[in-house]
Amino acid sequence: MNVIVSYLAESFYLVYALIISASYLVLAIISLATIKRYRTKNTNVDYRHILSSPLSPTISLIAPAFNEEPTIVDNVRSLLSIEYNNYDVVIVNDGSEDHSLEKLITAFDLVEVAYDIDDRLTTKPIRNIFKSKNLAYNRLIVVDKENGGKADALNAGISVSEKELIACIDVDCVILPDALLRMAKAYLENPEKTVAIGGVVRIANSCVIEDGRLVEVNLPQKAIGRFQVLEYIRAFLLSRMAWSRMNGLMLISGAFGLFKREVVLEVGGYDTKTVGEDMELVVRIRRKLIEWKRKAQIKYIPEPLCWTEAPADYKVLGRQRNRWTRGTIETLIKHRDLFFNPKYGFFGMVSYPYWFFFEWLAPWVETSGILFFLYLIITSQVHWGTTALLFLFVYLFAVLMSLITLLAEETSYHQYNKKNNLYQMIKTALLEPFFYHPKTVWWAIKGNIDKWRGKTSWGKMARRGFADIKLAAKAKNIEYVIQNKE
Amino acid sequence: MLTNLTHIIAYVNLAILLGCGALVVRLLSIGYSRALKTDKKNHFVKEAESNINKYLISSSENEGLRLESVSKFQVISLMQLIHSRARKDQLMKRLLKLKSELHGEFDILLKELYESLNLKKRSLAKLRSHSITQKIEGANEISEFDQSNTDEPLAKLLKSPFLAVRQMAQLSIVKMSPRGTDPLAFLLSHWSELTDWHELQIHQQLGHSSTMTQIASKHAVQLEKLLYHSNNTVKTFGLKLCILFQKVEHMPLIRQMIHSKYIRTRIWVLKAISEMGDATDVSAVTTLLAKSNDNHEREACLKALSQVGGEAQLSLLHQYSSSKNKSLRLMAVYAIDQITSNARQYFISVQGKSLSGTLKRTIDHVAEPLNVIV
Repeated sequence: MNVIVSYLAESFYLVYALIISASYLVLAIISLATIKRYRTKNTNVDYRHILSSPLSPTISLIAPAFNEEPTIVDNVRSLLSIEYNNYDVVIVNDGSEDHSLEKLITAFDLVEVAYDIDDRLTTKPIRNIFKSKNLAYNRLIVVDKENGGKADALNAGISVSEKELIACIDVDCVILPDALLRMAKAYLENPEKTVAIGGVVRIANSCVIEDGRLVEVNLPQKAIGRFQVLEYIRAFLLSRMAWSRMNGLMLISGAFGLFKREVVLEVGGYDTKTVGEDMELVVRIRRKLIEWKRKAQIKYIPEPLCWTEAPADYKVLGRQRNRWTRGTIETLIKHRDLFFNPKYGFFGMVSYPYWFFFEWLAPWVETSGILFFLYLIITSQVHWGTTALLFLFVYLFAVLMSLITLLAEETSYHQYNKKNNLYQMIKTALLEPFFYHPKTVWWAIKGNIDKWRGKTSWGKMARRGFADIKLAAKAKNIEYVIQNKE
Repeated sequence: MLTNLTHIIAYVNLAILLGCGALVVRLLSIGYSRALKTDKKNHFVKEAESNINKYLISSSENEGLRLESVSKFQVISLMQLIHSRARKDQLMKRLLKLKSELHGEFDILLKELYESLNLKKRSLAKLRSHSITQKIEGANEISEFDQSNTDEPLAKLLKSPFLAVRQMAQLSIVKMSPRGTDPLAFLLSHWSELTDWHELQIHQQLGHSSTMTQIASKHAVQLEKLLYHSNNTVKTFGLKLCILFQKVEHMPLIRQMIHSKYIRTRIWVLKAISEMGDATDVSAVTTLLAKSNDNHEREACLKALSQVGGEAQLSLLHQYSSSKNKSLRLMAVYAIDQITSNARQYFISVQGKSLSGTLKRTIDHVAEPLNVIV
């Protein structure tokens, strides 16, 4: 009996590993081809055409802010200096308990204005809407509302905005000056069908940010930052690009995503009851449009458009991953009727099951596999030679995927161009399976447990802020100069 | 069976290991060649670049900008020293960047440099290359720098099997606007390739081109041809061009297009009416507004009425002022405000002083000087 159980379990783990590895490889191949195609098409594009054209789409940048007092003015200035003509910036002060609003009022000469809002989305009460008396800031709209969380703040911003497209961003992200131009170009390629566009998000830890602008790209000094750099590039360049190509994308990062405003309003805006509101919205948009028999396309741009500060210690990172896992579970459960549902085509038959089996269940399969291996050791059923080879396979495959990621990055956008950056990244790829991956599995398991315990909070996300990063970079520079003098 | 499995895994591992090794070697070679590039390769290119800058500045009339004077001959002789293809490409990119940033006399100076260095030969060679990227680059270079005013080398690219190449060729032809030929002639045969992005580029090119008025007057017939075209995309693009060139004389034809079965076309007709229409358009717009169930189209109708409507349309606009959709509500109140010069007074005279909270908010929004409605 034991032997049969062991045989079945072994077969299950082997088949699971083979399918997941094969799917990663297929996704990587499709992604690489898509990136190549994108680069060929866009190498000689003159994005300035969009700047002054009356035919370019109008965009509202919506940024919710909660207790961002130290950095809010710099961040808003950076958003106001983005290269685009027909856009406005909607900052939603989500009941901040600090002086964020007062700082904005003083810095941008804001006054209360009468402003109409769309009633189709229900949000926590909006107290006031402000605009600037100063013509230089006439793009800025500040919404002051009662605290209701990120999704509620985004909904308030959508209700206030009037433009054709909305770009939902985190206020503390650094958006590259030409990001909207690139997104608008992708939208204009097929405005009828395109309902949302995502861009690659990169990690800004150790980068030099001045006045809300990215001045110098550096690889994070800490290993935790480098692990996340590799993880982000892999996720964006080798996975989401492929899903976008197959029109099966289920997630656009909450840090920076562009949506057709009318479509978001039609589907009911962001869900305020989930911690994974970004994924939930994309899934809902897709399913609703399929149900309404409307053709929809959700695109991804492989270019780095947005830089964000990643957690700099394992405790905060753990909380972030815990929340991501809970968000994924909530979305998958809420839309469970998509599971292998032919009515939803590729989305129901491939995308959803992929997320279910290889995003939600993967940490469980991995953990149970380790426990099963311990059981085999105890019952002396281990064939050490084969086991060693299997472990080696898992390790080598993980390294192979990371190296393909690095090659894609080096031959395409090559953001980390300092001496030794490449060697550091190769080293990171070799170490990641030992020192980083087990932690991500543990956080995912913890996220699952917390979900069943009913945890709904975001968890405290301590950020250093770019002002500190800038100071740190300056301090490091001074230190460096001193060392050199000595 | 286990032995077989072990063998298979071992072979797979070996293959992955080799793959990893090859990738590491490739990555390191990229890193090494990049380091070499930054250390040595740029020597000539950097010097040539700096000389181009100095030459451009010293050739300008702005005395305040004048630095160390560099003659065209010095720049050319230095650039001729650059033999490798990669370095020439780097320089070409620099010239293109300068071209996009500088205008007027600099434009002519850059074109002269391009000619003097015989770079056209390289651009033509790129057009003949098998690489799509090279073809696109070549077309772009020729359209930016070539002064011969002929689209002959680019015309061949219109038949390329690759869409990106065909579109770049089309755009380049528009950019060059060769004398005597209609730069938009390709539209009649390549209409299926028009995307909004491509249209925007052509539109911008025509709008910015010094030949804009020439195209508008000289190619009026061609423009009309676009409006009569059997394909809807071309028709709509023709409409956009009519708005760009403010071709009021085409309005009778444009008005007929309001009955098109395509929403997109109708919305552009409404835009044309907003900009160039008159009171004769009112009945067609109100009929469309009554029939339409698309919010964008309704909004465009309301906007058109704000420009061409009169008091007879006030009751219709009144209905929309209580819409749940903010855009419709706002546009209706705005149109009323445009027609009556004071929306608040109009609503008070019709409804009395008891205005609903939402309506009050919308009226206040329209009246607020810091808000921009259209």
